[in-house]
Amino acid sequence: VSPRPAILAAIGCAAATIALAAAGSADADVFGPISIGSSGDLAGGGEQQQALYGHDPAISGSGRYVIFDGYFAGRSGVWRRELRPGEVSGPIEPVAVGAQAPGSEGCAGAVPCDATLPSVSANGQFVSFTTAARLDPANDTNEAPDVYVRNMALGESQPGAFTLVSAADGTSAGLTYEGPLSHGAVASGRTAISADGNEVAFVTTAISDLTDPGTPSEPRTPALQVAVRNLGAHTTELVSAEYDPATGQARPGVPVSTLEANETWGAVYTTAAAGPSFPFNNRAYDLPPVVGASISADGTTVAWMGRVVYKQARMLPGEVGARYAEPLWRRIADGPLAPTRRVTGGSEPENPACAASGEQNVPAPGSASLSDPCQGPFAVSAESGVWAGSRGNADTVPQLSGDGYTVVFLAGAQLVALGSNFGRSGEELADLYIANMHPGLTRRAALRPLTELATGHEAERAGDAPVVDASISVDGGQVAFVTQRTLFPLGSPSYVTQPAAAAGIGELFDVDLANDTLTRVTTGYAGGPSEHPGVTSQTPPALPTDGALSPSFSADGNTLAFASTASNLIYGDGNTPAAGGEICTCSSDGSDVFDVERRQFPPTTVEQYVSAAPANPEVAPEWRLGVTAVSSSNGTVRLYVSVPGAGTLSASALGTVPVARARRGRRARVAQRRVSATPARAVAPPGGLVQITLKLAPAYRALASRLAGLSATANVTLTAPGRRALRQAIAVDFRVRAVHSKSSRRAPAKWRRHR
Amino acid sequence: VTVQLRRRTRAALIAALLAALPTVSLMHAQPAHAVILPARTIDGPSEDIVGFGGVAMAEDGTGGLVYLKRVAGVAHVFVARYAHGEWQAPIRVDTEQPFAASWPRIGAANGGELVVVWATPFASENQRPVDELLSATLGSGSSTFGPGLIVDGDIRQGTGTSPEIAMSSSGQADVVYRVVQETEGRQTSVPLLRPGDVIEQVRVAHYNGERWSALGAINRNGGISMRPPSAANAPRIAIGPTGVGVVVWQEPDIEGVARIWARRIFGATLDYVMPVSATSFPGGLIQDDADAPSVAFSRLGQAEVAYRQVATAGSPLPGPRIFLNVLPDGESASGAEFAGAAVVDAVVSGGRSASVGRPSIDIDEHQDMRLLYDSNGTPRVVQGNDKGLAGVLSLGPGFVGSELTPASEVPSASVMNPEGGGLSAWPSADRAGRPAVAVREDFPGGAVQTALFSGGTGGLIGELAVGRSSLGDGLVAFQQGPIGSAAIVAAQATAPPFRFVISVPRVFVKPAQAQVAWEAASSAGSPLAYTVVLDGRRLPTPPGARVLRFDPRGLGDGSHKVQLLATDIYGQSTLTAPSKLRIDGQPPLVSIARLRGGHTIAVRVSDRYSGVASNGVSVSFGDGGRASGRARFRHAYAHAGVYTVVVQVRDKLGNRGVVRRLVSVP
Repeated sequence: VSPRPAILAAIGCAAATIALAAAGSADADVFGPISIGSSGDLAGGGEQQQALYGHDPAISGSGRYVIFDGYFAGRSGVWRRELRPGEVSGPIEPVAVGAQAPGSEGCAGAVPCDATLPSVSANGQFVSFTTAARLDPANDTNEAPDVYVRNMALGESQPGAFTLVSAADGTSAGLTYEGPLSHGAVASGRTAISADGNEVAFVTTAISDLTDPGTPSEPRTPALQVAVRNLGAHTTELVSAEYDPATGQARPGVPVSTLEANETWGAVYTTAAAGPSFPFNNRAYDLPPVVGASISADGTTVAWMGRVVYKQARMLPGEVGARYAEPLWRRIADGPLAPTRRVTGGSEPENPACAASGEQNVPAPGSASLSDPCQGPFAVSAESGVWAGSRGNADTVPQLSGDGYTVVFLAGAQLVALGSNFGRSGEELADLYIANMHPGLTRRAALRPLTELATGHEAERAGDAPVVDASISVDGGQVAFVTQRTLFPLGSPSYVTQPAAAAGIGELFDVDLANDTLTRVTTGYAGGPSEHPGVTSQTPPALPTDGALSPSFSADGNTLAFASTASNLIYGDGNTPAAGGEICTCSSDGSDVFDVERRQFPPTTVEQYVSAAPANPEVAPEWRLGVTAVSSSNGTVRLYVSVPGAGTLSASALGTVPVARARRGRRARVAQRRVSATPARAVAPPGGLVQITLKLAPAYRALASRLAGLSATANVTLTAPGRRALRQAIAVDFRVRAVHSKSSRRAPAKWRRHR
Repeated sequence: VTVQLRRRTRAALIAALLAALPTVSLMHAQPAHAVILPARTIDGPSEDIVGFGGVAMAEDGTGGLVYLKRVAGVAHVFVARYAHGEWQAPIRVDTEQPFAASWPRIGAANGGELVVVWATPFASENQRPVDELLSATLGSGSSTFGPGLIVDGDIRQGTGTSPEIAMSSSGQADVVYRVVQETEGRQTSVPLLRPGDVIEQVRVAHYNGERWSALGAINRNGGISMRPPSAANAPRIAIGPTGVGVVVWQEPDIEGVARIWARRIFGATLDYVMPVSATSFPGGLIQDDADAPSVAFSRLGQAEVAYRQVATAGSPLPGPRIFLNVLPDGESASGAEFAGAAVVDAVVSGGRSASVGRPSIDIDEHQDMRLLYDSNGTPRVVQGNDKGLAGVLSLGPGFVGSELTPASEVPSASVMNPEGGGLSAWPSADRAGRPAVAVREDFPGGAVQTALFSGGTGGLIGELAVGRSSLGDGLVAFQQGPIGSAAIVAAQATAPPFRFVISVPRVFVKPAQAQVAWEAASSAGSPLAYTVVLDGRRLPTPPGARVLRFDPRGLGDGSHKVQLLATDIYGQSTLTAPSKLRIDGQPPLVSIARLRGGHTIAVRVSDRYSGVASNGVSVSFGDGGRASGRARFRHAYAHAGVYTVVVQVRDKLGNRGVVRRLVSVP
């Protein structure tokens, strides 16, 4: 971006406005004041209520609605708040809520107070979530958790308001699960539904009849499979299908599972092989269990953190560990045979040089080298892969851009490019990465780190606190993430916010990929970092997930919704955690949902105003004459007159001349006569030097030839309208100085008298 | 008789010497007519511009600005030098440093010399990166910065460093900065007085023109915690031309209340700690923090410190106020301690909810003071002199904050014009509400010029700084636009040349000897064009001339007024006060009068300028009679007739003449 030529006004002119032409468009990374989203008009009567807590927000693509898991007036579940520009409040509607049992966080009966992890369509009409409640009793025949979509255009009690998502392919009947009721199907928050609300991605956490719907009484599909439900077509497609090394394609309908160390592992990463139990707790200061899948806004692509990767995607022959975890990606729009691809990893078998080398496995992390054609971007352990989850919880579900080709993910493994254990111990501290999934790119070339540990001192949160959550905008240009770090050593993106003096609770950051900048989004209303009474510099937060969580972008990337336990993001936050640094795992954890807008700075015509400069000092010629005279050898006199301005100049000379000879008793006489005069002449301003030549009148001319010449007084006069006349007199000599030989240079023999 | 002769001889000699000496006139310019020039975008708008570090101006009007710009994704330090009235193309400073730079600051010395300091990581210690504070110098005649010098090899992680550099015209510099110690996960014996407090050192380093020497930590008590670093509580420093200066900083006292403290600096030596801020006010003790110190140092050693005093419930103050405290130079009063802090502007509405911004102060060797601050959004300039506060002026338009910074915390600056008045700049907005920098120049004569500056593609105003020379010139530089579309914008307020010396002959001279000579005028807008003004007429003056010999033609006898008009490259002119040029190019006048019926004549020789040289006067009366050696003659003719009287005259300058007159005797 370069400015066009500026039009600059000349100096000294009168008040001037200088306009600079608008330069090219440029986006900005400035965020406006933070507003609370988990507060609004609940009853429709205009009375504003703030949720006791608010978790896991998701914002609609339009930016009009924010959906969150919260608690109001004895009812908990998923709520929808309308964000009205310029208004601090807006109506809050229940999406799927139910009463909690008094004194308990369990539901009072079969009501969806356990509804959680919402995702929302672009227009805010369709909301997906997970609940154990049977909201579609005709199709949902079990008490296990299932995934639903609520159509907000219909009332809660109207038929069709709730549609079962975790249903068998080709029917509306729900999946059948085997095992405890705490396991069924779950959907991740924020990213489980497509923009039009038609496709929903979910993950089974129990053995189900997902791939064998014909035998619901004997479900055989292993747990932890990724599926996508097309609500309009009533189809459910297995996404985590096996990879066929012979064809390089997927095996449609063949789920992924393996038995290792007496545990059955599925296609999706979880902290334990059995998968998480539902209902999830309210996750005060914490994240939901790491399970789920993301679907792109256009519904074409699905991504998940995979396990048993060697059965899902192409790997080296020696890479057969079931625990090996890695983000996986599949473009379902390309058909049932489209294979699952690795987003990144420790190896790169697609490299032709790798295939030619016949290499069976990549070296251990300490020996990894980028000179190895089979080496992927990360130095990985066969036991853990890119993500081991050994250092606490994080939302590791990969996030997709709207078209699915850009993936943001967390990785605990270190980059091979950083060298062997450089700055890192064996512990995993999550950093944030972005990968380009367009065909033709090697995984090394497709990867870009967005954060990097600032120190090798793992206990130092300012430099090494993990990234715990992330999100990407629909256009792939913005990435939001959460960490308690204050130091970001990468120059690209460049951290442009004043670093906080010390690490506190988790802050929300935004990476503008177009501008290549990193900005801290969350700021206390007084300008400082996010805080709540339980955290001081002497009592740091106990959990890396205390603070901001669950960032979610509107489709244009200009509005961010997030949750935070901070109590100083807005003035008058009535939901403040208890002081003393205690971690409250109860409902009143102080977490709220907030939204903040990215400020747009469209190019504008820049104008400058400079008032008139003070006048320079004036220079005015004095009204006076300056006259000097030079006698010429030809008997004339040259007058040099310095005139101050326009006027009429005249000069004359007065001399004493003989007027009568002595004769017959008459005495000789002399008298003063005007012996020379010049015609008046006009002179032009400004005053300059004017030359006037005085010649003796013919009657007196002979006097100049006499030895003595003629002494006279020249009078110079300048007259100008409205000004006093200037007069100057000067003595002059009219004398002819003939050039003679030495002998002839004598005086004339006789003086002649003038009559 | 001998004594008298000697006295006369001596007097004559003195007179002759005096006559030989030209008149030397030290002509101070008429009130400085500084002119604000349109702002110029130095760099950007660009996504690579990621920070602004300030602007500096040396006494001779040269200077520069510093900012951060990414190269290959890594932030590096860039400087645009200001010399000869123009901004030069930005050049990179940290050419040898591979890692990202931060905290750039700049100082300027005469001749275009610039010193830049910045922080950058350079190593790791126990697996943790350590930043160092580096410096590089751009020499007077150099176009590239020299190698980086280590100012401080360990400033920990460079958090809250907020360095400030003060540089003298002779090339000495001092930098004050903070070093925040990491305490996380470690036991510390220093109790943290308040939540968010940090363990911090305020350090000073001295640059003697060749190398840096550490003066060490200057805060008074290393055993107490400091307030978390912010822009408002950053330490400040100011030095004079000899390298003597004062550093001020914020530090809690024994009660835990953050006060302002100061120490004098004598080159590489630190003096004792002096309290600056008031601890009480009529009505009670002040228990609220003081912050936002601003310090200025005069050529003679006087320091003045302004700071902001917060007032919460229970404070004896009616609301937040700006205080001023003066450390005398030691000549007029004791320089051992501050005179006592006092409120500079009692008129602040709003009580305790009033919004008072950070002050900016400047003083000069005349003990004149100028202080700018934001009073509920209104720019207020407090002026003072050696007798105390002289008045408060409300400027307009108001302070306007941004999405990032409230109005009371936006930086502003005000500097003095040594001739009087000064230059003020603060973030504001135009009539359409678009962010702009308001600039106001107050002239010594009372005139005012204002401007609203904007650059790049507009947008919010980031950091803002003002530098000034000793010539009345000032530089205003700021960052405008959000990161990603930021631009570095600079403007200059120029002053016409002043401190002009011209010389003309003190005595009468012949026209051919008439000349005027002058010394080069001081100006940041060089090269200057000079025009000799004679009796109000501009005379053609060759470029580069320092002497002009007048054209004798038309240079009539008498006293003339000679002035010199110096015009800088911006068209601003300074006209010196008139000097007298005395011209005598004509011989003495001769008048002949007839007496007693015409038989006797009286000849009188006179010269109203240089005077008649009597010994050069001789008269031939035409009848054979002669006389000489006097200026008055009387001669009686014995016979009637017409006689030619010939008078030879000469004045004291040697102008000779022969006057011939016919005299008719009856």
